[in-house]
Amino acid sequence: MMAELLAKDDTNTKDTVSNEISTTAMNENLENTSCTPVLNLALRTFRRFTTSDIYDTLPPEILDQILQCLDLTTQFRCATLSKRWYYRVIPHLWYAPWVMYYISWMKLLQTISRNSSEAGLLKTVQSADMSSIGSNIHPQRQQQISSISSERHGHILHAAENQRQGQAWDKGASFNSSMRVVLTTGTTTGAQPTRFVDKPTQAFPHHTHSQHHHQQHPQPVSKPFLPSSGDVYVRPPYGSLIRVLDFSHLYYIISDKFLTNLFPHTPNLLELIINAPKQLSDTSLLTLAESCQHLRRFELLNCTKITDKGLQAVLTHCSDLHTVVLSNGTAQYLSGTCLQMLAHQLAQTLRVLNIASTGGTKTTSLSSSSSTALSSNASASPSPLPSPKLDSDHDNDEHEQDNTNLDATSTPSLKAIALHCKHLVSLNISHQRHLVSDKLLSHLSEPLQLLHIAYCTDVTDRGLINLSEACPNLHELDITGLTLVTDKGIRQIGRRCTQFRKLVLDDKYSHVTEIVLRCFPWGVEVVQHRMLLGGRNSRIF
Amino acid sequence: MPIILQAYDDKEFKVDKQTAERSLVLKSMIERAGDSIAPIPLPKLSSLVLEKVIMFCKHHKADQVDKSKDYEDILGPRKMRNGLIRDMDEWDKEFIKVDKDLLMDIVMAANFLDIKNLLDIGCLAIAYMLTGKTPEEIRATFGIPKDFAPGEEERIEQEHAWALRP
Repeated sequence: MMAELLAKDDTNTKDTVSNEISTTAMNENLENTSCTPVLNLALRTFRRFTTSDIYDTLPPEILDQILQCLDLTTQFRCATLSKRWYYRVIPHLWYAPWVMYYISWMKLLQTISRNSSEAGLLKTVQSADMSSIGSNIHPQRQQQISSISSERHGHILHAAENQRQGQAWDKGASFNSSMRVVLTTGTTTGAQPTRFVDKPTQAFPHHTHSQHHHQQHPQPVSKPFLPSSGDVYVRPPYGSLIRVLDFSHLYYIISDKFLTNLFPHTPNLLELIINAPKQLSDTSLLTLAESCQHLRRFELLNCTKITDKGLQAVLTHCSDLHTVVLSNGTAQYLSGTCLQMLAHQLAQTLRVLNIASTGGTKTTSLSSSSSTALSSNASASPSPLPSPKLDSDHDNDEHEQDNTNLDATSTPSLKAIALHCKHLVSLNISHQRHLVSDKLLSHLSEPLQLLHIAYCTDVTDRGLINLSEACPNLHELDITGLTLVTDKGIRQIGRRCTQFRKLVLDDKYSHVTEIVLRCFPWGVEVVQHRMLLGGRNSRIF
Repeated sequence: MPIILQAYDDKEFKVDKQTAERSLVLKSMIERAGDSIAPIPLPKLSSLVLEKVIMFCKHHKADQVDKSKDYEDILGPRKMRNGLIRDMDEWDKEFIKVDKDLLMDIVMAANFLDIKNLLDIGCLAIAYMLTGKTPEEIRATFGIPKDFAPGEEERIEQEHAWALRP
């Protein structure tokens, strides 16, 4: 009986770790076929005493969920348990390698580039790197070059085409799906000719693990990345496992040289966050656009050297972007044409846009719930944020600079965003006084939930009435510094937007009174910037 | 109207509708069956496990499903990708203090019945079990055989030297 089952289970027996797998497969098969409770119980007990490796007990998707919960050290320990565990853990380990402060990024970069260079990638990419900027070398071409050069080293490079990752929302569901597999030849495979594979459908049908490349596989995560036989040594392409790079606390390592070396190794990058870099110019963005075309979240804060050229390259190549943050002075030298291009390129995908020009609004713009906690704390103790007073002074200086660039073609550019990006959920256009008018607010569309128009002083009650008609799902509104807004506008919001939860305003210059808050019988949180005290006050009505 | 759930040893549990509907699988079954619902056999669950699951659902039956979850992924605060995502509340902590095998069965049951909260808590509990143990201790606890070829372990260690705390 056992032999039958083993024979049935033909794919697994080929694997190096056939012992455990076939035992599990047998257990599963038996459990599925048997119906009687007694036999079932017996089998469960049998299973419990024979194998207790949780790799066998739990389905792969649960295993992935557990591994996600682990900290980096424990993840690393799990990688050293056994081969199967190693291949299951590495996508998690490499998912977002830079989030921890103690990471040795030099060692990390070394590992990534060494593994790529063994596939012959590094040399060609680095030489093509500088020449490809500006001249559009297609990434496939780069892969071809690399596969040719790898022939000399006797390596085989399967490059599974990096496919579009389906819907933009299935984060993490594509861990192992579009991986590049690099096989260092053992004695058995040395005679095989080097081939470059354009499409995963043609990818070596006789290879047992080529199935892992297929995007069409129903559960890409459930199939771990396993070596097909003992003598072929599989070296995982670690760089392509990296999905998230968060440099928001590591501003001191960011430079063009560093990034242009890093991005070619991370073709599957989904999120990039950079805050206040040492040096970042368009060169990095051009490399990014060439290498990381699946990017979904793109945040540049305090990157004042970015110009139209770099951003346009990113917008042209990365068509899956759903979050674009260009705040705190990043948008300083961008023109209205660039915003129009953004509106057209990302019309279907864009969910979050932040082009606020100054600090202070950062916390309220993206992380709504953390700012809620922050503001409720602030009523008791002085806020840790820089005082709004200082901010506003600082703003005024930057205003003058902003206007010179954005003003000329500006009003139509934001209108283009309002008209084209119909899926926008969060919009932060604080301090862009000359871009925002009453009429613009009427062009916004229904899904909008968060709107920050602080210090857009041209907005009046009419604008809020337009807004309430256009966006019935509004949750949060920041109207700090809008001196022309009175109770009338807020009342209209209370009437139309039934899910409204949070209002941010300042108490000194605002003409909004407490009486109007009766329009929100379900209760709304009001955050008041206190100009004089330098703190924030929040009350729940 | 109470709903009857049968464990595989034919033991029956009576639960109210709200409790049963914490499980999305049972919920759809109940919706399809309407008022006249027969006892639901659950041949994959032992009575011990089912009792625990029902206990959890009873405690959490009044939990509200947050409607604004749709955009949580992009609007919410960025999750730490590595590291324990959240803490459990006190009741859940007490609830999940069970031995390893029962924990595995609870997690499997939560997966089978589609109870997301319970699955999350179960996974966290297993994650806690793994945290702070050396690889040898984990291997001993879960019976994992070591099958690395000579030199492979050193290579892994070398390649992931960046992840180790100095």
